[in-house]
Amino acid sequence: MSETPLLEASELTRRFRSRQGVMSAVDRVSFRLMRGEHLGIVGASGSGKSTVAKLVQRLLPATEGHIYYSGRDVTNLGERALRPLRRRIQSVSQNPYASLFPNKSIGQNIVEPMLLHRMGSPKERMDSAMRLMRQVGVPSEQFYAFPHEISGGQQQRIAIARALALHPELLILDEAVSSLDVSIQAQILHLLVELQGQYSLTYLFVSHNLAVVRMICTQVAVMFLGRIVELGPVSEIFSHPAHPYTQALLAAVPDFSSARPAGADVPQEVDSEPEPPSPYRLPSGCRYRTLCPIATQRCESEEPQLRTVGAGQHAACHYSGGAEAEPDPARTEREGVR
Amino acid sequence: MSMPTLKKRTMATLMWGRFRRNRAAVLGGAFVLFLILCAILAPVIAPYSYMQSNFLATYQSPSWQHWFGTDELGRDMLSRLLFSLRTASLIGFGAEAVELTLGLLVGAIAGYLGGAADTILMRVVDVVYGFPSLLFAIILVVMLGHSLFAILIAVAATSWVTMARIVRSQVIVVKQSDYIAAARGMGANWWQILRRYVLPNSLGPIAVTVTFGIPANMMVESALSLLGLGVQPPTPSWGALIANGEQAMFSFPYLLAFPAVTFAMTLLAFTFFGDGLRNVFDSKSMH
Amino acid sequence: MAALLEVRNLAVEFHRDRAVSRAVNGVTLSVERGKSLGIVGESGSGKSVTVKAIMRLLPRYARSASGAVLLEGQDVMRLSEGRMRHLRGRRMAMVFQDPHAYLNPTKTVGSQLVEPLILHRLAAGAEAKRRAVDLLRLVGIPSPEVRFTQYPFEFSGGMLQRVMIAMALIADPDLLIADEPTTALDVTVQAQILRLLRKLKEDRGMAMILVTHDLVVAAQTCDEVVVMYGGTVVERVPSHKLLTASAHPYARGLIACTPRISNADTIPTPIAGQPLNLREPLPGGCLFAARCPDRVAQCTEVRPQLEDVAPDHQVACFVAAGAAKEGAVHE
Ligand SMILES: Nc1ncnc2c1ncn2[C@@H]1O[C@H](COP(=O)(O)OP(=O)(O)O)[C@@H](O)[C@H]1O
Ligand SMILES: Nc1ncnc2c1ncn2[C@@H]1O[C@H](COP(=O)(O)OP(=O)(O)O)[C@@H](O)[C@H]1O
Ligand code: SF4
Ligand SMILES: [Mg+2]
Ligand SMILES: [Mg+2]
Repeated sequence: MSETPLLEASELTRRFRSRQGVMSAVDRVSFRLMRGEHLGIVGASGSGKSTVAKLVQRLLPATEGHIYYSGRDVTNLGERALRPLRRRIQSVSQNPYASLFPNKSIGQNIVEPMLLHRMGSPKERMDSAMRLMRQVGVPSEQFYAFPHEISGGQQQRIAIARALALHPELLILDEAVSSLDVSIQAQILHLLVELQGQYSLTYLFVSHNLAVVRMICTQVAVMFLGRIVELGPVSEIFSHPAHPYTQALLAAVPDFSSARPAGADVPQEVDSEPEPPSPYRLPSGCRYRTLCPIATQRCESEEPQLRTVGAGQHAACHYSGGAEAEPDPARTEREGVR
Repeated sequence: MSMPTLKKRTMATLMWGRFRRNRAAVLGGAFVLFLILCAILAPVIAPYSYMQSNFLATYQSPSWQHWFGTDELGRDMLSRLLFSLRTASLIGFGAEAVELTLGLLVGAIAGYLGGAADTILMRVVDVVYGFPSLLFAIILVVMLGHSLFAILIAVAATSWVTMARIVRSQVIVVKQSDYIAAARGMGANWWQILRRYVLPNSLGPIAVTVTFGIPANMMVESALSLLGLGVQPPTPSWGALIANGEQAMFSFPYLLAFPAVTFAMTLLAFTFFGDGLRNVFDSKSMH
Repeated sequence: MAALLEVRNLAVEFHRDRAVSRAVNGVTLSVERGKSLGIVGESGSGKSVTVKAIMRLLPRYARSASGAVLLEGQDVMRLSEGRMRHLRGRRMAMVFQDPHAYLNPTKTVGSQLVEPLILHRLAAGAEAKRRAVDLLRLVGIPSPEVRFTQYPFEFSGGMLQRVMIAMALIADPDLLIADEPTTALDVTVQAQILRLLRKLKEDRGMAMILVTHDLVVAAQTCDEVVVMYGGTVVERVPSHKLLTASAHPYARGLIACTPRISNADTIPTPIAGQPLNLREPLPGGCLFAARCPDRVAQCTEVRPQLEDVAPDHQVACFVAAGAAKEGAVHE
């Protein structure tokens, strides 16, 4: 029995045109997010994480592909038809200060979405905003404080409270804890877990911080230059990453275990900066091959597609999960049609 | 910072609180208000007619009858000054209104639409910006005549581009800001976005530009009349008064002193007021 | 061995709009030639102000109430601006978080490297170009001859940071200060830049100060680390002990709430309370007392000073220092 996903992206593509040419910020991205699951999107900056977040929120039109919400195709819904849907998908961005309305007090910021959707009476809206403030840990006496008068951590709490004001099902968090100090980051992460239980939220959690994704998410998508190169359960991917890029990413995370012992090693040589390919001139075949330590002739001629490499784990590499592994036939067929 | 306990505060009260603490700005603002009142009420409060000469009372030093003295034709200097303030204000504020309208229109369209419209409009703005503004005003006055309206147009003809640039950059900043994306994500329509978020948050720099634009216009007006291209006598104008005073500077210094000093004070008052406004608006983004 | 740089009891206040911000409140640290020192702490703890004070790059409204910055015994704080300009680049050089703010977008990277070479009278003409290309190669920029002729926008973030490092190395400084040089970079690029910094320090026998909010980065990259809180140094510890054997409750709190990829099943426990408000008068005792889980009566009365808990390890905490002494007695 297959349950309808809360959010599904199918072959989602977004191209941007600029003086340098045309590039696909998001290239044929597909994933399904079940209710109550939490999907992390990780990858280097510029890999298209935020663009995916904006596409599924319909803040940016898709060039190709489809977005389904609870099974319904919402890709081409008009702004008016979209309005009820917007209530169900809310977001919190990296820079809370920039995303709060600077001309409104923090309390009014939380009231604002309810006002736009004509929810309740003014009194009810204010009460409900105060309740939300207390819930995210900001004293409700500060209702009339302005965003610039409170700390970054509190600003992020208010942004979260505002996102919850419409009782959404899906909360999109784009680098929502990335700019915070570790102590405040931990506080916000605790808050997210608590709220998720209380409001049965589903998170789409965009972050370049892999450790944080591991704490919050159940599923993870690894992006490289617009493509999902690996997708699957957090438990699988963090313990045995299948794609060479995921492996490199995980290896580069500074971790306690890799901290230097006394009088540690000194690198023998200066490694020159490996140049990632320009998104305007992608290499043939696999787009990771110019950085990949195990690339072969085949990587040059053939673009690897996402295919199953383990329990729910998918990777887009010819050599993940054994060199013999055949590409998913259903997928190749679909690609062939395009 | 200690937070008030649930006392209603708005951005306006917050900004007023901050403005109030800036003594120079408050004084500047009060003086500007005083000037505006004087300009409006000039016909009522002026003790004499600005054009009535009195050959029995030429070159009178300041006295109880003539606070600021009289000129070579025996005309009351205070009255003339009040009416020159009226002229300057008419042109200062009038031209600013023209600039604001044009600037808002061009800047908002360019900033909001972007693309080709932006490129074309901004090219026009750049070209106009390149004109030497005083020279251009002189040419216009020569072409259009010396009527108040002609001078107003001449003054506004080049300076609206500054406003257009400010409005455009402000609209672009606000348009791209995260809170506009947030508002869209909440389901606000374009009208709500414009009215509730774009306008209130664009006001600051525009208000500041207006405050600095008015005295700048007054300067151009005075410069024109210094050159004899301003409003025609006997209608008094600051530039003409100063030019006139300069000729008699050594024998009758008050003829130069009063117009020059009030002129300088006016410019200063606007500057202090504008600086105060700028601080208030900047403080919104200051932690 | 005498320290190359020694900072003694440095204090810096910002006076503006009739408000005072007490950014640095008595920092003492030192770094030897060929060694690297990490400065860690949360944002606002005074790391950047400290290193800017060392470089004398603070704005005019910054006041230094006390302290000395000794570069081989010479007090940098008393030098004339002219002498200071001579010193910057030649003796101490700095790399910042955002290369874009320091590079001219309208000039080629090459010309921006050649200019200071000529300015410092280190080379001219073809020689200057050769030196600049060598520097680019040294910091690991591929095809440096081509890159020499390119503009900043043609470089990735990591490469621009390498360019900044090359610029800092132009006059062969004794001390390289890097303020959050990898904070804006991706982890894979960060790892490369940190390796480069370590390698350069080693090869050239430079001293290095690395400012970072990331304790793990500091522990990996530096020989020694100072932990800052509220503009003071609360602990000075060899980097191999930082993550496992730090003594100050604040340092331990920070380490506890640093997310670890290898141990991410539970969300770390945050440090209780709010960071210090530097615009209000400082508390009398330990600056961390209000948030400290180990607080005793003495903490709110007397400001603890750095005390040895081991020959190479100091901590400014009564409880931690006391425990260490007790431990020593028991042994
Ligand atoms: N509005 C836009 N116009 C042109 N290019 C864009 C735009 N938005 C994003 N991009 C480009 O798309 C790529 C992906 O960007 P983004 O989704 O923000 O990446 P991430 O969030 O992973 O850092 C980048 O190369 C970026 O420059
Ligand atoms: N130019 C400045 N003017 C006023 N205050 C400043 C200035 N620079 C830093 N500060 C204040 O000094 C404190 C320490 O800042 P900083 O050294 O930049 O912290 P860190 O680098 O550790 O994040 C902060 O409270 C900050 O607001
Ligand atoms: S397909 Fe080839 S180049 Fe791409 S990641 Fe796999 S091995 Fe590397
Ligand atoms: Mg992003
Ligand atoms: Mg800093």
